[in-house]
Amino acid sequence: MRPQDILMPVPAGLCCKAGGFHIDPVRPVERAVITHGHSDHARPGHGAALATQETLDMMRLRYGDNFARSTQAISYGEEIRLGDVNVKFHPAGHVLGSAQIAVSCKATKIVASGDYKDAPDPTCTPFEVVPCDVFITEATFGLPVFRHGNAADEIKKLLASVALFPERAHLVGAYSLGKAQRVIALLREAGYDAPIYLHGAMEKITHYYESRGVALGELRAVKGTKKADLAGTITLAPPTATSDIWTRRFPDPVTAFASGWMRVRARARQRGVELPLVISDHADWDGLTATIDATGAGEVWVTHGQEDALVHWCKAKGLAARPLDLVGYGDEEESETLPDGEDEA
Amino acid sequence: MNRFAELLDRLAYEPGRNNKLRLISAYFREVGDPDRGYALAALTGALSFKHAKPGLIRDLIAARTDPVLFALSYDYVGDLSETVALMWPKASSPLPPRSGGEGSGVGGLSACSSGSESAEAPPTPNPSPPRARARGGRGDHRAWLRDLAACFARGFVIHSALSDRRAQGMPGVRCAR
Repeated sequence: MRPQDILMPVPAGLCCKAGGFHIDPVRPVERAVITHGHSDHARPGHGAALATQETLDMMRLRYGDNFARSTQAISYGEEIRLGDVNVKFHPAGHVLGSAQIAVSCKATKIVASGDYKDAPDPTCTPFEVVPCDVFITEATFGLPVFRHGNAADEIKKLLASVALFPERAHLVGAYSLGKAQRVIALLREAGYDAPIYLHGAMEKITHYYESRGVALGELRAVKGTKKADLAGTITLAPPTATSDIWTRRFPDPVTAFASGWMRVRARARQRGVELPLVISDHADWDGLTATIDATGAGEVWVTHGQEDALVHWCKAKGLAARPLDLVGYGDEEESETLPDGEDEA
Repeated sequence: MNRFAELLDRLAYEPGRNNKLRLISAYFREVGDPDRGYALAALTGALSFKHAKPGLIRDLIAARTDPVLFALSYDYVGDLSETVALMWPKASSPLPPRSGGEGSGVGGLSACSSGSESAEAPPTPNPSPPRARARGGRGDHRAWLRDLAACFARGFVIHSALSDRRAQGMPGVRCAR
């Protein structure tokens, strides 16, 4: 069987006819297999949803109990049969509960990695290389200018700034699922033990992380805290909130933003960021290319991001490669708006 | 040098004059000689790089990156010096073998996935070529050119950082936070 007969890009997402399911469908489908909880991959309204327990829990937190007619949890390393194919989940290292999905049919194995990173992250299970014939990779940071570096060094920058400007508040824009908790965990690793403040939209997911055993230290809500008491503190907020009228409750805030995009000045400028922190939940260029190498895949399908450069790189290495041209996936940070009811009033 | 790069970054993004002064004085208090001397020279425009021209930088980066990848990157970043600085191989990594193999320019980079320090400290800026090294054969000369280019790429960034700093320091540029 040819790989494209096993998995095929269709408008609703990656379709597996032989297994009767879609991976990360962007439209409601009968059976959905979901890599992780970010809103562009995990959408409500499917008939049945198969994902890790964490991903299902996060979908429930965001979309309510009826986000799918039925759900089934699967753990890392577990393999199940769907139709004529076998499906196995492996950790993707992207956020809590994120998975790569290996689809095998006869002798052919395709790995859909969803979003992934090979860098260490104290808040989730580390990425696992899965040898395969076809590797489906994201390309969010698929240009050689994106090399993220050590996240701990970026945290040092933030802490140095807090020490230098003790009378100002530090506002860190971070996506509310994954990035925020990682930044908090990295701050704790760096020895910062003061309370960390949270925007209202961060609270639910962050407390969920804690309930799954991720230690984050003392967390407080910004809401109800006096302006003067926020001097010298660190607050995590969704990226959109840091340029919002909401920031007026902080004394002379320093606006930081934790994202891989901060590697490029123009992107930091665009957002009016004063302290860009290059911390990403996606693999950087070196990570993408090293991972493709490590899987041993002879064929690479590239999706969402800078496909061209990565496809070019693969072809230069003698690998068959093509962009999948799937639409509907983007960087969550780009599109995050405050969900209803999570808005900080 | 990384500390200086950090200072420039902060200055470039910080709109408030007093906050800029705090950043600069913290830097001079914290960093020893001779680095802060070079920093002072760079900040006051006393450093010049006579021999390094954009054409040279372009040639040097072309020699160590895949042309298609460079073009895509340049297109995305929009600024030659920044693109070169971001793509520049780590100072410690050897020059890529000139085998003509496509993609070899990035091959050397995969070893440094740890790299915010990928813009690893270029050597102390030294505008005049050290004669002994320049005479020391082709390899040395190339190493020196590489160092110089790294400095110069940084120099571009420094320059743009300073002009942005001026622009951002202007009243009314940013009215609300």
